[in-house]
Amino acid sequence: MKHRFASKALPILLAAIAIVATGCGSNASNNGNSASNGSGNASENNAAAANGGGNTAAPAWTGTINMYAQAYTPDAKNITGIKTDQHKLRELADEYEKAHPGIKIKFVDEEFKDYTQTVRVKAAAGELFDVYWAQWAELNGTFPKGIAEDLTEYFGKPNPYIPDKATWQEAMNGTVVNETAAPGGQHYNINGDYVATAFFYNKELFQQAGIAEAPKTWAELIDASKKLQAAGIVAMSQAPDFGWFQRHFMSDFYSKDFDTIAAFDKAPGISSLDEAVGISKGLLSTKDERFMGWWPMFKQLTDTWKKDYLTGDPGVVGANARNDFLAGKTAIFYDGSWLPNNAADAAVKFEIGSFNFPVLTAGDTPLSTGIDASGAVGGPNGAFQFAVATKEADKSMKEPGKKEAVIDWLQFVGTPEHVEQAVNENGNFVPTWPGTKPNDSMKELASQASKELKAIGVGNSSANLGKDLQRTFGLYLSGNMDLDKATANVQKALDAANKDYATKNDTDYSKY
Amino acid sequence: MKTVRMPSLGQLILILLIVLTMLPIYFILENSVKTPIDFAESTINIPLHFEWSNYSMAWSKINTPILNSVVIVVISVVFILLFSAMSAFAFAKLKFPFKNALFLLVFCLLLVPGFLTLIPLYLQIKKLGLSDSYWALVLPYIAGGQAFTVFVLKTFFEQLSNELFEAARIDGAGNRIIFASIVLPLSIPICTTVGIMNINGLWNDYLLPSLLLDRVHQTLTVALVSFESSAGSHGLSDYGGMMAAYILASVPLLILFSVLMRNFVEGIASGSIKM
Amino acid sequence: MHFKDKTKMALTGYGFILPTFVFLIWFMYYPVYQALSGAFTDWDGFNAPHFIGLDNFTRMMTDEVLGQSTINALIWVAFSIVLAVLPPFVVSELIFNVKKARLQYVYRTLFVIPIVIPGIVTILLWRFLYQGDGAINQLLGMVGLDSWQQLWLGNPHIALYSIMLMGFPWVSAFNMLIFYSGLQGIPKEVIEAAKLDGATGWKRVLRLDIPLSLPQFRLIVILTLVGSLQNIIPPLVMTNGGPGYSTYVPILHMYNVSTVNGEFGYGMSIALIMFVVILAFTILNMRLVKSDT
Repeated sequence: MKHRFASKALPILLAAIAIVATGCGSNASNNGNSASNGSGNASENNAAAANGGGNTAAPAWTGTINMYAQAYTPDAKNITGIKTDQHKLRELADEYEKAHPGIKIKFVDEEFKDYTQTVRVKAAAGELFDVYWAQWAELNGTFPKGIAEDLTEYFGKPNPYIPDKATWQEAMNGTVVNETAAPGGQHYNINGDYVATAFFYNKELFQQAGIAEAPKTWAELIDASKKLQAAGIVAMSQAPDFGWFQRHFMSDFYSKDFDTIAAFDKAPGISSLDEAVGISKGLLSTKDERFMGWWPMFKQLTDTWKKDYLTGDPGVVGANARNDFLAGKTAIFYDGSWLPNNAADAAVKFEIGSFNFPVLTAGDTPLSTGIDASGAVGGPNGAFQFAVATKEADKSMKEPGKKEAVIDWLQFVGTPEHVEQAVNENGNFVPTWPGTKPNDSMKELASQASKELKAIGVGNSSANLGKDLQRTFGLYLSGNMDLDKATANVQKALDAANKDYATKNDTDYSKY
Repeated sequence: MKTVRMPSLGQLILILLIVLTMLPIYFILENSVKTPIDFAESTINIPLHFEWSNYSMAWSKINTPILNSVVIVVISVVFILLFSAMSAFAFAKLKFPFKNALFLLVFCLLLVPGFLTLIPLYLQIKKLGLSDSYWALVLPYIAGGQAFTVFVLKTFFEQLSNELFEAARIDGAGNRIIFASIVLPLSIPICTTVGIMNINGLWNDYLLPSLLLDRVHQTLTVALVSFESSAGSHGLSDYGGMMAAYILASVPLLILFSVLMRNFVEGIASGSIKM
Repeated sequence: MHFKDKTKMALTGYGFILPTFVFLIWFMYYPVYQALSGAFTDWDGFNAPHFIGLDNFTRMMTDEVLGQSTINALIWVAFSIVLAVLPPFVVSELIFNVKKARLQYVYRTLFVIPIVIPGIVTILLWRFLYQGDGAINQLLGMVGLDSWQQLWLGNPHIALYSIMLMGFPWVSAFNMLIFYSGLQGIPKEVIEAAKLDGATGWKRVLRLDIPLSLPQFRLIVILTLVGSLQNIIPPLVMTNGGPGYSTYVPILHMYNVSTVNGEFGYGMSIALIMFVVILAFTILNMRLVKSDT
């Protein structure tokens, strides 16, 4: 290419940029329309739907309901980590199809590497699954508003498949329903299972280090870790997940303030609004000695960990850390209740035990209130978390009667009996609805779910807050940043999140 | 007469560099026969136990996707080369108003990050009703390959002597005939080169196929990713199976390259990949 | 030329470029236009965007993460260019100076074979090599350099360089072949003439090979510049920008604010600025590295 080209090129390039840049005003309508452009072909089933009989419970819509059931996907061939003999939802679907001729239930058997991205893109094109797996915090915060139907109305109405309860909500776990409400009080998913978390340990390595019993107190945990270290064994291989570990300490330290914080929004449970107000009032902030008070204490523990993962993003290094443990390279691993199943699948050569996060005492730290916060981490974030797409996110929901039909199917799946069957067949989670019983193998961990869920943590009020805090946390634990600098960084992140939340939700903190 | 000499210092360095460059190949090979536990124990030792079932498992997961990828990549690259060659010929040898400006518009696209257009492109393809067919990828791929290919071919065509064309014109040949009977045959090596560069890129593309295609049309990269567990599924990553799959997946490329290597190197050596 | 001939020639020209432009308008310009016009909105990727003027751009001014990302990116680009140019050029010289043509061919082929390895495998390999108990530290331990052992990806002062320097010995096959072709293109008489002037070995490389390979250098520099600013996969897969924000780069910031925070409008505004910067660099490069070929 001749260099003459460049000098000629400049004005044209500038013109090109100008063309690209000027279109901004008209674009709003462009994008707004794109979701509805394809509505013409959306209702091919309508003709068939018109003649539905009035004597079935379902509305007179016929067609196929798509559902992405994540870990509960029946007969999954393409999703890793699911047992091959899992059929429960398929059986329920068969039963439902028989009772509702003309309706077919199809399960999406796909692995999505970046699920958030997938949901976003599919919703933007109006092609989201009719029923899809989504966790409450994402639905309330990270996902765009308006991709999931507000189910609150249906929660307050009877569920035809639960004859003995006046409303659907009565059959659900009340605490969970309250805690997972969006800032405006909406409920975007039905939430049927619970992740219990614990320390899992390699019994052989414990023996080698001369540790007879699983630690029960914080001091014993530190002691065991040091003994392992002295025996030349890496105590733990773990990404120090801030979102997880903060809850153990904060739920304890702040337990007496739980009701105050939970009441900011005049609804039970700690919502993202409660969190934001708590931050703005200096309660959930570095101005309160409890907020950073657990960091040095936790560092005692992480000083015995494998150093590699301390500064890592749990999403990036988490799988490697787990592989280390399963390969017998490290002694302790903190994880969710799915771990024993994963270990069995991987045919690990050692025996695995588990112990809960210890109850802290005033001797460990004067900030402790002495409550048992072992169940504060996992919580209602398993996989029985289903939302219904709006007609904007899923064009096919525009077909008359489809929304009602989809919700009817969800009501059929969402009965205590069906929740228990599906959750226990999968075996990685604990069913939470009143009257459901966990698997025997889950019994030890299930005690966590039966405790009152009074978990406190920060990170839900702004999409970036948790990630931001994680970065500072890692730098502090790895010794790359001192506590003062870390405290300043944390406060900066909290302030930014607070501002972000107020802008997005039009919140006036002075009102609370 | 010279006796057989030891390789020179330069050649020793070359051999050392080749060994180091081949390191990833060793990495794939030795890990392809490891169980997840073996893999976690060490990723660089020579395995003592050979888990050959990784290969049969991998093959069962990727046999259809390989075929899909071949179909998509072949159709795309053929059209990329055809359309790019036509444009490059026009930009290099024909005269028309706004030629430089139009070429610049094409060139600019080299500077646009692919992620930027992901969502708009996705919506565009959905709107055209193309998703869940090979066309969903082939059409955007044809568009995406134009900028670089036009750029390289234009440089190549500019080097062809004008006398060649003038002679043909005197014989009464039109531009279409010149293009088909002179330009295309002459550009086979360079087309092979940019073709391989394009194939290499498309073969590894992940984001677009993962969003656009259903299971029947799934491409290789999407199938390969399923070996690594996702954050949501808590499974153990089967890196061994994944490496076995990578080896099987590289077979089509190896075959292609071994057939076309001479053309490929010749094409680059024609000296038109420059600015 | 007659007016009629000119028109005919022009029409033929447009005819030849028509298919390219049909595809480009359809699948490139329109999506790019849509994306970039989002830079002036608060688009969340789903709901109808609202025009918010230059808000996104003022926000960039005070975005500390973007600031650090930009510094990281500049370091990254500088290193990438050196690594994309120097090792391949040296190798191409070494091969070019091998006497037997057949042997030259063998070496070239051997360097090209690894391109069948997908990029993600290289990244995985280096992630394992860089681990605390990984091969690099083991090797350092073996030769008694224990004090050099590092958490290559876990130390915020080193991580960026670890990611940039992965892929040792950095012999990109494409770049090497491009340089090699440049060397081959130097006329034999010129080399002979230079020899008579006493320009052999290093002198020849400096006086002859490099100046005559400038078109190749220029292309590789620009492609590397564009590629390294757009290359999101290594920092995303290896560290997701950590420790802290020490390996954060603008494209990763754009990706995370868009897909994690749902602020597509802001992400697009970062992309727009990046596009302008890349364009400016490209023009600058073309003006600075002039050549008469």
